[in-house]
Amino acid sequence: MSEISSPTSAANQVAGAYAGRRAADMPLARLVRNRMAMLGLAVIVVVTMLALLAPVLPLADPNAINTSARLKPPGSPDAVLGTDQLGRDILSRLIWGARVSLLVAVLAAGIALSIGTLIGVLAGYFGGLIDNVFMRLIDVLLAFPYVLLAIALVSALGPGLINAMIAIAIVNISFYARNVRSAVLSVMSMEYIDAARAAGASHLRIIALDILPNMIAPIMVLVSLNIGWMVTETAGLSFVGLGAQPPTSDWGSMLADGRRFILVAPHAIMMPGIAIVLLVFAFNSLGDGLRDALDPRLREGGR
Amino acid sequence: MPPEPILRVRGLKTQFQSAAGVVRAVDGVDLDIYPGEIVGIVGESGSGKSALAYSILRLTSGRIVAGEVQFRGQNVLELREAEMEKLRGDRIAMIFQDPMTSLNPLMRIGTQIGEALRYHLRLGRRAAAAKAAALLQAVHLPDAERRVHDYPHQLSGGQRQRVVIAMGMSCTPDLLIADEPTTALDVTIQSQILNLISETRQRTSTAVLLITHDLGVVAQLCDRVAVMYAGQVVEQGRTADVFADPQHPYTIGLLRSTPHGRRRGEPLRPIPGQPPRPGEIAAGCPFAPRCHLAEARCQHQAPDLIHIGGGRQARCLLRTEVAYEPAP
Repeated sequence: MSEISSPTSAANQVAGAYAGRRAADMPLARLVRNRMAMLGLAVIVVVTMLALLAPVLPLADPNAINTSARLKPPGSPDAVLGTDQLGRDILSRLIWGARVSLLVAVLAAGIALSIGTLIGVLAGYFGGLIDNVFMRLIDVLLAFPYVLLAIALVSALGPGLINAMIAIAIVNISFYARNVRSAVLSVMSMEYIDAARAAGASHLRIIALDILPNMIAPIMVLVSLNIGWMVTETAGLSFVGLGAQPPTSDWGSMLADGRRFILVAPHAIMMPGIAIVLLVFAFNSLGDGLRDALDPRLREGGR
Repeated sequence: MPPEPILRVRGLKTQFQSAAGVVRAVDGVDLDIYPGEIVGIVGESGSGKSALAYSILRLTSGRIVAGEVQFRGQNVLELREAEMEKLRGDRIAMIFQDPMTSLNPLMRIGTQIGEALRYHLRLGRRAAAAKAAALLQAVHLPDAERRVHDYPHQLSGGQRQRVVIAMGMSCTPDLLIADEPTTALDVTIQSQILNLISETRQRTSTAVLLITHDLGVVAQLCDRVAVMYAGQVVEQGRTADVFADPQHPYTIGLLRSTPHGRRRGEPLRPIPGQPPRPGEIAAGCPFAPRCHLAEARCQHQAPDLIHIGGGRQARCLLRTEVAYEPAP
């Protein structure tokens, strides 16, 4: 998208054109220079690699119960991060749990993004009655507090990871729909949309060739800002027992398990807590960095 | 026997709904364009020039409430949307003011030009790419063969406007609507682009509807000119006639306020006041509040567009009508 910071002609700013821009001004260069964003990216890459490689890493069985080695502190010879109340290795459980947390967050984001983009594009492009109907429905969805709505949905669907994922996706549709709609409106104000209409292109062609490609940057920003929330929300649902069901565990259910021993073995709750904070922080700082690099106009946005 | 006009606009009215009420952007415009001629439309910002252009292509965001737009004898306002899409870009094309925003920044220029060729002429990808390169050569883009792979940001403003013109001309339309095609360019590039439009017209005998607020451009390029004020055509005629002997006080004012229209040594005289705000037009002649010739009757009697001889028309109560004569 365009850049506002340089005081060039108004046309240039709106154009979304990268004309005459020095290499150091290109979005990628600006992202790379952003240390927080790079730190976030590094954390995400490491966590993702660990999660993907979990089956081949030399880890203890995450579900192997060993009652003689309960609540061992971090730094123990066989358990670097200690063990939980059933003697299960916390490092191993964290890494296996990362698979669950990440998978649910990514899938939920994908579902919410697809449906939200569809609604946002239809509402923004066609406007009028379609816009009004969709946006009022979204307003209704927004009227509920996020977490409460997710809890209500899972209660209705029944507990479990799949249902938690569906609930989180539904809750986040409004976020994508509203932001995609406004991105569509800003692309629609460009003359190349009129030019495509004047050249005889159909609505479908314009949406596919002109609108969607020019929204990739803001959509990337939306997703990276949103996935952190998804991770938190998944953990939250698991924490209250509506997400991952035993023996599967994610970071939220580990948090829930550990809280009963917070006084005797604080590491059992701190380790998954730190992991959640770190990952969410990583996604958010990458998202902020992407947003600043790609579209400075979104700086005040988000939720 | 004069040829049939390629475009015949009659009583066209386009309105916008705004918070302040109904805005009559185009308010009963009649306009004929004959094959191969360049017709200029001049007027201040907000006079309805662009709204007229968008209405002809049925791309206006306002509502066309009355009138006819006959293109090659067919009223385009009655066409279905799919038929309209076939017409746009193929028989009537349009080019835009700002070459910085009228090209999709994420599509290679060759692909962008080829798009229209592919759906109007049903060309294959390869044939469309070859035709795109030829079109770019025709608009004198240097190194056209290689530039088809460029993205818009790799081109200068003037080069982009050449690409836009190549796109507009890709299917050799019967009518090219150019909405202030040189406004966003600097002066030296402006004249190059105008020459290109004129040259293209001669090569393809495409008629051009040129929208501009620059009387110099009209003098240089247009066979005929229509002056618009507050959504209406207030004067129409051959460019040379209108410039030599303007009949409407607004045209006189426009010419006096530009270096082209005044005699040597005569000071530039701006037209006093502002154009009426859309939706604020009262009864009477819309130009009366700013007119140096206005009489009492101008305040409450709206003038009609009358024929004043020589194929010319003016919308002023102070002119007397002459017997109807067919347009030249």
